[in-house]
Amino acid sequence: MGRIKDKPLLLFSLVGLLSNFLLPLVEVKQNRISNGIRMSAFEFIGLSELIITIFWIILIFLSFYHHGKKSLFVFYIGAISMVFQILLIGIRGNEVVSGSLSMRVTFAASFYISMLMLYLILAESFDALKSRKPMGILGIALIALSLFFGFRTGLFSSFSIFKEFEVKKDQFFISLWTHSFLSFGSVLAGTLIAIPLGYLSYMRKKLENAVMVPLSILETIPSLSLFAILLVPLANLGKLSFFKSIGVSGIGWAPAFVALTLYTLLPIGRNTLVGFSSVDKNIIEAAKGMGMNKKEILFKIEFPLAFPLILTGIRIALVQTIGGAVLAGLVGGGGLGSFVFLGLAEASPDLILLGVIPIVAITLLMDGLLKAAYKMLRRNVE
Amino acid sequence: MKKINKTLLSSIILSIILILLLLYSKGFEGVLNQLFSTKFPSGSRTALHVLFLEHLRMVVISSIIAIVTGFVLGVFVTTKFGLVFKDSLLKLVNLGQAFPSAALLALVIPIVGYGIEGALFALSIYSLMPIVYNVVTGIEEVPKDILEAAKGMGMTERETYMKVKLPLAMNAILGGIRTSVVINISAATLAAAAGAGGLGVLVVNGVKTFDMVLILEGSIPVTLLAIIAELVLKDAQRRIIFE
Amino acid sequence: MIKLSNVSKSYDGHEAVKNISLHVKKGEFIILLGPSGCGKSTTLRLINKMIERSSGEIFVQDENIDSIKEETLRKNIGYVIQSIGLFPHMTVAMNIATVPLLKKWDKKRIEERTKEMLGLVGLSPEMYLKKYPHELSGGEAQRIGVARALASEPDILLMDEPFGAVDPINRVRLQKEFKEIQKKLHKTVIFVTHDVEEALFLGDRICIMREGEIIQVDTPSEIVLNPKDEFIRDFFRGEGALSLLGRYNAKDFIEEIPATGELLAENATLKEALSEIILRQSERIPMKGGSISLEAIMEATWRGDHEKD
Repeated sequence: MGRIKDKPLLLFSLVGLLSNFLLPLVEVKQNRISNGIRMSAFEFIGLSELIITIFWIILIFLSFYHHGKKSLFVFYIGAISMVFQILLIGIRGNEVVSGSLSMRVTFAASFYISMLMLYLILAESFDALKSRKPMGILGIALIALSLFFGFRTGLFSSFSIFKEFEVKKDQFFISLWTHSFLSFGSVLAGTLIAIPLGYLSYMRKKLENAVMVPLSILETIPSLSLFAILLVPLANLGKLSFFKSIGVSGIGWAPAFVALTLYTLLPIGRNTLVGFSSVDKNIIEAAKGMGMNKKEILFKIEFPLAFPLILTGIRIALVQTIGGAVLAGLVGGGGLGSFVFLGLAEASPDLILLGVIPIVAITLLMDGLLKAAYKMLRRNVE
Repeated sequence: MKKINKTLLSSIILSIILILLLLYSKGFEGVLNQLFSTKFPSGSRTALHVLFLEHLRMVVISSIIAIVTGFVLGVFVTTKFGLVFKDSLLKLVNLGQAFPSAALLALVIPIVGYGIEGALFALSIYSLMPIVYNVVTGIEEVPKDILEAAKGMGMTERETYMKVKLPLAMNAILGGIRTSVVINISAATLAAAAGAGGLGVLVVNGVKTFDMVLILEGSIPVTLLAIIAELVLKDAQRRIIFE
Repeated sequence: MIKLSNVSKSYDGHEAVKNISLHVKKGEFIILLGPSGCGKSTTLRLINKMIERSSGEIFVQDENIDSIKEETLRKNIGYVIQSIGLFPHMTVAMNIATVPLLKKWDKKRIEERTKEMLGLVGLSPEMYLKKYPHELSGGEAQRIGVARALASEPDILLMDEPFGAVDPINRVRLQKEFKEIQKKLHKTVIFVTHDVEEALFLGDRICIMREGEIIQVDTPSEIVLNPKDEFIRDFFRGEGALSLLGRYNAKDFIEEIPATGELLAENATLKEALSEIILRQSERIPMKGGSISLEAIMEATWRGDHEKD
């Protein structure tokens, strides 16, 4: 066991290799609703698939070596495997489908498993890169670019998910916009409300429970319920001309927006409270001694020092709302959730994926960005 | 004992309210009918307590699966042998947490099928993440000098876990269980959309028909359940916390 | 009792311990003394296998440590570290009883032993058994750490700057008390410190280390009076000689000659006696049973502790 230097790599590569052989890679369907023929990688692509198999074997081989120099190697092989596999499926898919509008290729188990394994392998080797990180970032950029290039040149046009996308393109972008509006907008609104609330709780200890307890209770209400409870009141509110003009009603964006905003109040509010509380009293004392007035202390000292924690609260809230906005699709609020629930109703995994993948991607992106921003802030403070 | 445990007291009061609502659901519906207009004056087709028990059953089973699996995985990844897998597991958990509960349900159902099995599977995975994360963090936060003393005394890995690491990580682990159970209760309302029953059925139907009575009839018990779970587990955590 | 033969330890090319050999006799209290980074802590931890050595052999009680299971080795050696590492979730009693419990002693024996250990370190069992670590002061925690290490009746004690985190006044108290404990128990003790006075006060022999090597191993007076090189002479400066006086009790040098003035405390060391003599500007000061003189102190210093060998 001691000779295997990189156990995770070995595990992931073995799983990837085995799924390549044992599980179906794709399913070819005549049209959207018919049952398709499941094919394994070699059945579908043929001998060219051997390239991928060789890559897996190289990765298995590399698991006998320590991290360090090999990590860059592992990273690039993983990246190339990912891109190649998708391209191979695309090329062959175009051949098989050849012009038919309804015939399509759907991914099956082996594809998802291999992609997941490659994701984990890439993630781990990226971390091990250390000084060579720029090369890693270059690699990620190359992956994105080649996939984009493939997409543009129609190499992926046989994929069922893209067929659905073609059909529903306009609706997709509208939903994407609505979803972004709902999630980012509610976080913005929540920030405007919760930061003052949190600050107030910090200033007056007595208010702390009065503010935090209702917000905690709010947080425990199941999302669907909160959305639903708001339907009728907002419908009634929408009868008033002012609110009607901005689009408030029982259906549409309003219930989702209000509910999502309410959900952001606890994470942002509580982190604001904790953030301000964490400011060392001695620093404030020193500032007072220097002659700063209350407003100056607040904006020049307390707020900047509390900000990293507040930012964390905003990050938590944002991740929450990007996911939570999915439910808007159930109450007629639009957003990517409408694809998810439509797909669920029509038993179309591709529609579901069309909704889920962007949500997950945006969540990971925003989570990563805000975490990085947090780290940068902390470095400046120290 | 001046301050009799507020949390425990509140949870008892709320539990009593909940039980009363379930036992006298017709009366509860009656009250709601007075307050809001409804298209279903005769109320929910299935008795409220039946739906509640369905919901509870879903949550309990999936939580038990999540707690056991999460605990095992989390501990494994902190042992000498499993340490190499820690980063990958945490990355996987991070990836999983980017999926909202609705998305997980939507992805799992087509594969496993509609009904309760699919919902249980999805809910277990969904509740798993906070537990794994908290188990790992809890164990890792045990101060290094305590571990040094334990090792220096000659404790084996197993002895160290049983006597030092796990007891000291208990606070974080219970916190993870608490989070997990509460989000599970919430997510289980969506399971109704996947044909799994539970209180979500009322909410979903209420949404479809714009019926406030049904919505509230489903939402109030679920919220009460979530608050009670939060309070009870918070109290349990408080009892085990170490300085 | 403990033998190191040509032991080395390297980290990534950096040699922390270079080819050292040391023989510790049974019942001996040996101090590893040196500046930061000299390898003394590393050496200590090689003995109970907290770190694996790169080369050489280590024998504990005539057995090669490689032939024993690590955990068994450590269960039979007491280990005290600077931060102590008391288990915060256990009472004092449970902390002390840790190794006896692991060794599956019977309940009664554990109870008695725990109370005995508390008494040994000067803490009352009734008061301390049920306390939790966070309720203890620094000095109390340190004592419990020692009690815990001695609980399973090990023959050997390894101590890494155990009194380092305690305030100066309590540190001196702890040192004195530990010296008394050692007089009673005669354990084989390997004690790491960078504090010269502590070393001179406590040790039977002092092993001076620098940059991973052993420079001199000798009794305290030998080291002070016959340092091997300039480094050691500088390390001890002139205070070494004065500190040596702290090793001896004034009452061992009493003469039956009367003197006037306030009585010197019965448990005063020669160092404290000298201090009083200077302060009072009197060549002879009274003690219970006689008096002590400057001359007697000087003679004691010349004599050194050759008698001890």
